[in-house]
Amino acid sequence: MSAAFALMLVIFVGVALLRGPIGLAMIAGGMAYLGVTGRDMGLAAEQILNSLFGSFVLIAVPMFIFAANVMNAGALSERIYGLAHAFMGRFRGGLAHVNVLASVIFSGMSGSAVADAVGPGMVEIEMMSKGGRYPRAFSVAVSAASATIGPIIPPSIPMVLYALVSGTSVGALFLGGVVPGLLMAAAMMLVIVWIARKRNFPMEAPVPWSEIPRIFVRTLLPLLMPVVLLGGIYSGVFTPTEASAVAALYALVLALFVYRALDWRGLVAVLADSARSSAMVGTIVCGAFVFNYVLATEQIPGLIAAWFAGLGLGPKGFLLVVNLVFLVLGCMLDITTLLLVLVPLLVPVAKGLGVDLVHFGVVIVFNMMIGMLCPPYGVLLYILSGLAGTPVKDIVRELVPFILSLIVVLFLITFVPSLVLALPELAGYRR
Amino acid sequence: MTVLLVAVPTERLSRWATQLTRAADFVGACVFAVLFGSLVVQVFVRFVLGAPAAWTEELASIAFVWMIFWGIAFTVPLRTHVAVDLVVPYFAPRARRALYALGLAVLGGCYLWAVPGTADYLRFMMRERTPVLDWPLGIVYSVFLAAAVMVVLRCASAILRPPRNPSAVPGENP
Repeated sequence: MSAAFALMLVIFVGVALLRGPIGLAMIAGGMAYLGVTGRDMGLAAEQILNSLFGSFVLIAVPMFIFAANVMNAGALSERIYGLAHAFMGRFRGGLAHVNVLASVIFSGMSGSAVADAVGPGMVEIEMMSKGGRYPRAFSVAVSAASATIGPIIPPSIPMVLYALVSGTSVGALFLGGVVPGLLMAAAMMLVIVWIARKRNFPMEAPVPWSEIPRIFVRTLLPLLMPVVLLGGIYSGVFTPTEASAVAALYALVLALFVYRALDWRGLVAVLADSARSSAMVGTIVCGAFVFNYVLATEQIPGLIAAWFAGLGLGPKGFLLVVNLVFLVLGCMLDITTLLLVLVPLLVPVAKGLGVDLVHFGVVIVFNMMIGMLCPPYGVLLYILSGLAGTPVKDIVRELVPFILSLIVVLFLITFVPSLVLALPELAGYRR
Repeated sequence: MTVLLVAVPTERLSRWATQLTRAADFVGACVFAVLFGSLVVQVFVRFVLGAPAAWTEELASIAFVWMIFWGIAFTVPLRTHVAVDLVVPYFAPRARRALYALGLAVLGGCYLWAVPGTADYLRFMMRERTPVLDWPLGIVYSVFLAAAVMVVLRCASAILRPPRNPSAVPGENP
């Protein structure tokens, strides 16, 4: 490791620890590296701009952000909630089950856990805590935990980023998330059954079964969105990027013309907001491009691979170590940074050990979703604590059983790869 | 800069700032609309008219680059970027400000250092053109330079500006 590389790390880590913007700090570290080693400082711009031009698949990220924003602004969350309520409200702890089911449905349309938390997640918190029926902290915990299903069931923004750094197929990754996503929902519902019985949570007046077809029809149009999106990708009609734009267009037509929940002024606000959110993700992506260029120049990936080889781990041992390391890192660091900086270092090692890269990707993204719920840096925790006005420590206490259930599912999908790979293989993916 | 601040009444200055932010946001929304629109046109042209258009992918890529760097330059304040609250919140308010300012000084310094090299690179890229639309790459990429310069200015302004609420964690959203 050269002194210039050490300087870059000091700048990146130092600025980030002093609460500077992470993405900009990575770029700054890269610039300093170029300056100190006497290279052309314009190389930072060249690396970033050429890489952005060469990564068409990345454009799916702003499109998924846009689609989720349109759905949240277009009051689609309420319709989805209504459908989930008709099915699950009748059971003990019904509204908590509704919360999980609504997240599963919303996951098929959004690829971001944060979008799921601020959209349907907040609607559900309000419904659950109306009249003090459920403790507020419990409601927030269920919304936070179920929001993590968003990027596991396709579409998924983190999986698009993983596809970029690993060269795996977005389609295969998306399909690989379906079973783990459903397992997550099942695990959370089991936890709710147990807690609801123990704390005697209420049941809702059952919606008559004869009403359900009417409610279903009311929600049918938003429910078709995953069909358009995934059908388009798997039939080979659209590239993932095009499919993301078509999905956003579909959401926009529903919000503007069918439900008339969004006017033109609202549309401009949603566009501006999506541009800002995408720029924030894009900043980290650009930082990672520079950072990874320097890592390659310093031949760090080779060193990491050699280090892992020296440990003498098999594929299972490697996955175990990676899971433990990322469970810890995920609680402290932003997932985009982890995905774009640390994961590329591990991809060649995984490949060398014969770990399937689609399996590896789904496991890593799943792992990071757990980190989003854990202090000190669980993003979902802070966003929902702020929006719902509930102290973080109360939410964390209610979250513990959900986090434990997610960890069980994580190890299940880690050591039973078919849970991830069976569906992609049915669609023609070869290990 | 300081002279300017003294000469113009603060209310008028903040009114200008609000209007500029609004205008920058509107441009950001338009760039996003171009990005979205070109992908929709790409799908439409291929399926409805039966012939793929090469320019749509290029326009989308250009809009993508502009969206990111326009955002960094003009619409996303430093404190709203993704950041880590691991260390700074545990210090007393005065020390927090000092630490935050130190980080931003290093950050702004690096970007300032890279500005001449970046400008040279853009000047060089004026000779190259995008493959389909035939636009000079130096102009397409110029938004990167705007972002770099604005990062320097944003860091300087965050360091020099007196805090509105001294007990708040610097960098925390108000």
